[in-house]
Amino acid sequence: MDQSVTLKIDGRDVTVPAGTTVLEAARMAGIEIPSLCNHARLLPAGLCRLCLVEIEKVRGLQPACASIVREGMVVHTDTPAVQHNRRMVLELLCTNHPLDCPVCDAAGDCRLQDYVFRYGRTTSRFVEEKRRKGKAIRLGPAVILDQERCVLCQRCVRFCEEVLDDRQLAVFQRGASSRISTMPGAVFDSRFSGNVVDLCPVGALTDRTFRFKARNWELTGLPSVCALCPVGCRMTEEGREGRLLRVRGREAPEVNDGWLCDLGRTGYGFTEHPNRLRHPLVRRDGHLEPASWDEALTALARGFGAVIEKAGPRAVAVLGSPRLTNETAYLLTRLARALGTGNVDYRLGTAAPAPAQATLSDLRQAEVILLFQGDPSEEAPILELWVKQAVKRGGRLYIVHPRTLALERYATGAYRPRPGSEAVLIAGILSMLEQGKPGSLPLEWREAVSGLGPTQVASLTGCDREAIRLLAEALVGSPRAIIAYGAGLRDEQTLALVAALAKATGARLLGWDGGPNSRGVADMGLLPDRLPGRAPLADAAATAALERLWQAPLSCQPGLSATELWPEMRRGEVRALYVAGADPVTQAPNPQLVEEALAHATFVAMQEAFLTPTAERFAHVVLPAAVPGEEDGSLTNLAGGVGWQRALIAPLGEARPSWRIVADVAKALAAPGAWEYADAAQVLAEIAQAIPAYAGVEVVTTGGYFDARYEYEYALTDQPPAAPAPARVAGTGDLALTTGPVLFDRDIMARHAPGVVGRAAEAFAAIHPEDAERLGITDGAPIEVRGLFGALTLKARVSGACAQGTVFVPEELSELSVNRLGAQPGVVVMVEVKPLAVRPD
Amino acid sequence: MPFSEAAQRELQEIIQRYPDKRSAMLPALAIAQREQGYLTPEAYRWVAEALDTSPTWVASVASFYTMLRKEPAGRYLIQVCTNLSCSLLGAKPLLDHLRQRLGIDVGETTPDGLFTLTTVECLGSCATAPVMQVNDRYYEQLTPERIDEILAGLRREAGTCGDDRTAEGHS
Ligand code: SF4
Ligand code: SF4
Ligand code: FES
Ligand code: FES
Repeated sequence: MDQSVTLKIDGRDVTVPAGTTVLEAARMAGIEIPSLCNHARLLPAGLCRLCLVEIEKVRGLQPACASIVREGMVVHTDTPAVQHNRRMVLELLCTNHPLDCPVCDAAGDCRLQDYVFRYGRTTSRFVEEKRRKGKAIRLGPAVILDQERCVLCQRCVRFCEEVLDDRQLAVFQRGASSRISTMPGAVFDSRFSGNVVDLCPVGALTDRTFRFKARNWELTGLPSVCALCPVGCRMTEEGREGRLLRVRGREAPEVNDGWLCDLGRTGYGFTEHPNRLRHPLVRRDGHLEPASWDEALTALARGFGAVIEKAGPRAVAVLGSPRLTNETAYLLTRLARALGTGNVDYRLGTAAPAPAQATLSDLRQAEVILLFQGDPSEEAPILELWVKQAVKRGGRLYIVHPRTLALERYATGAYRPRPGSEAVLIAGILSMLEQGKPGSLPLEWREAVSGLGPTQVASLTGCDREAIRLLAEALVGSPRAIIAYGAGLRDEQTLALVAALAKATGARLLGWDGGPNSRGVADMGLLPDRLPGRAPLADAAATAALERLWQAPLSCQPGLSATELWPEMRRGEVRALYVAGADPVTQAPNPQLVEEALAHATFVAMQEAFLTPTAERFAHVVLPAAVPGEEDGSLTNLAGGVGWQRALIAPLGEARPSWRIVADVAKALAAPGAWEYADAAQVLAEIAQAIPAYAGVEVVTTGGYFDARYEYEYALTDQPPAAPAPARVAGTGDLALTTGPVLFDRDIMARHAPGVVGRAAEAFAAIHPEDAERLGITDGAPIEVRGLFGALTLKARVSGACAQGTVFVPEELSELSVNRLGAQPGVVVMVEVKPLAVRPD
Repeated sequence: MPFSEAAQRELQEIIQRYPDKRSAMLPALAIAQREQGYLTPEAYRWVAEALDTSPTWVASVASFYTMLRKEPAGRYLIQVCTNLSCSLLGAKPLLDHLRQRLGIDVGETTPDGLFTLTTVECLGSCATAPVMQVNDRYYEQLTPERIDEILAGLRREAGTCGDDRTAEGHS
């Protein structure tokens, strides 16, 4: 039971929960006590002495931020002694402060300014020369430090220590010379570095991408969500005169709790990139040329119309992307089904994530976390913080991953199964559970895994038998266990096994892939064999409800998946393709096949913000799409939390919101049903009607939190699952390829944000030191990695983090198409790696 | 420059004495300074690893102490006391004398890398003021003549046998 405590502050009775600080209690009562070092998400430090108050029966002034309320306590926040202290602290802070407010980014949003204004002296008694310290120090890629403006509150230092557990900043020297710095020569390069700018109460820490862009009072802001990774951090977009200038974290305990990663913070520069598409393009005589929207939509209608007339609607396919908002994905699904085709998908070499069972708050409090084939630090950064927090609270972390992750130093157990044997490892645990306690396994899995004895599992995976048993025990033994799978899990079979493991152990599932809105897009039904809400096509009630809503008969035929699509297109069975936000030539697992197929297509239309290689070579019509920051829309994060992304600025040039483009295309194609929507919110309202799990989702448009987690039996097919076996091997090289997203070089959007560009490593391949030595490869040297469809020239990164016998190549690398190497779900690709002679220059 | 095995052993031995490894921070830094003459990021990393803490934190602690050097010093580090007793007995003119003889200012090192001149607060030897410390040795009741002798002696010791007046030539 929460106990409450009643105290008196400035003569007023205030009742607050026990354990509250006096500072917080006063705030709750609407009494302001000035404070600089205190921050709600950091531990009290009592450093700045600005918050001193009088507490009766306690000698001397007391720091309100570090005093816990007691029953009957009597606090005075406005006595002459308190006022004198405030004046003195502020006067001392100002002695050496440069008072360069006119050129300070924080002006107008600075605690020192506000407090001096409210509580300070009106004149200065200080006539001496001010102490000089470092100005405009580039602490790291995202943050600039002005040591003279610093009030030494140590919020930045405490953030590094308490939240990151990565002490990159500290106070150096002493007394009046004290200053914040990194270690000499070191760079503040945390992926979360920008948060210290939000935390700094003054203008000592500034945001490199925002510096000198605008005064605080000129900015307008909107609450939004970050669209760059599956976490969907709550943030605020700020800008002026049609420009998005800054992104800051927003309080949201259930998601990011105010923190952002640097990709989110600095990644929105793409809005202004000169390569953005500003008007529609139509191919004439082999060249894409600017056209009006009318011309483009007419060309599109003619192109699709001709194909449908000649070959029927099933000759049309729709390919979406996990970058789409729910609204765009929903309308695409609806468009495809209304046209009469089931050929809709968005998965290019990934599996649709199973619906989430755990929330991010659950993750922060988990007792046991199994991190399976995912690297939060690169794929969903905020999760790195939450996993650390869970461990700090006593949780145990187990990691199954081909590489050594940054989080491994927090792990109780780390497993590195042979590439392709991950499913066997999970099946082995399942079979172990069933043996230990018969009946613990879902029926359909019993037979499939029963043949897998522990010895066999150990020899197939290369993992220690006893260690596997410990993992099984940990999962079963805790009511607060979470299985979190990441972007490394790409095939549906392994996902189904992981889901079975969750079911058998009572652990809750949480998962993501490389796409920011994969979960939402899958929920919207952008899948060949599912309806919106992931109902099976055979679900008559769901179909009838949708037909009523859409005023159109539905095509309930299962269509082609994005994998099945290309051979059919090459054979001429599928002739027209509509692509939204995807770039199959660089993203699909088999680029050769994709290129041949696209070359055979009669008509290809795309909506995109940049001209992708696919569009450049194959599109007949390209429609310019808005980017995040320019369009409203909802995103469903990896924990099923729906967020509302806002348009702060208008789409560039003639670009239109992505959802509107789909509606315009539907109208141009005369697709059955009504396609008039005033705005994205109206589409969302329809989603709320179409998908039971999203009923009520409209609250997100007014700032509410909506949890779209729902019960969903994860079944691969209606067939009983096959016995898991090590994955098929392709390729003739001798190193197994592993791949995955890296934070600062993840897709076409990030590549067009100036704040991110410098942070991406040069296109590299990581290789174990022993393999490197055997192959005569040195760190940093150019190497060739040859895969199924070609070779890439990359820079070698010799690292023990990479398991022996494997080579890691990031998934989307600058302009290189890593898909030339042929990584594909459920297949181990063996690549050939060799050193390249260094050119003499 | 790697740290010697003796230094490693000594550090491990000191760490044993404390219930919390990090308490060995100052002795550890002293060892590192003795090994390399001054503290470098490499030294911070060395200490941090041994004490299970972050190099930034070690560097931050080191920065608090002026006796922990962050820059290379000459072979002889001259620390002239300028606190009360020494000042009353002429530390200032002695310091000027040193400046002139060495041809450098406080905080600088002679071009031959032999001497670094610094000032310190009370060396705890007021009874024999004015005082200066050269590396680990104290020189007391200083006079300009005595200083010339000391410098000449140090030069001899270093095997350079230079002439004091070369420095004079600079000024
Ligand atoms: S830089 Fe800012 S946050 Fe850090 S100590 Fe100084 S004032 Fe505080
Ligand atoms: S963690 Fe993901 S959602 Fe959050 S700011 Fe970073 S990229 Fe955006
Ligand atoms: S806020 Fe209390 S001491 Fe700084
Ligand atoms: S004042 Fe110089 S030794 Fe004490």
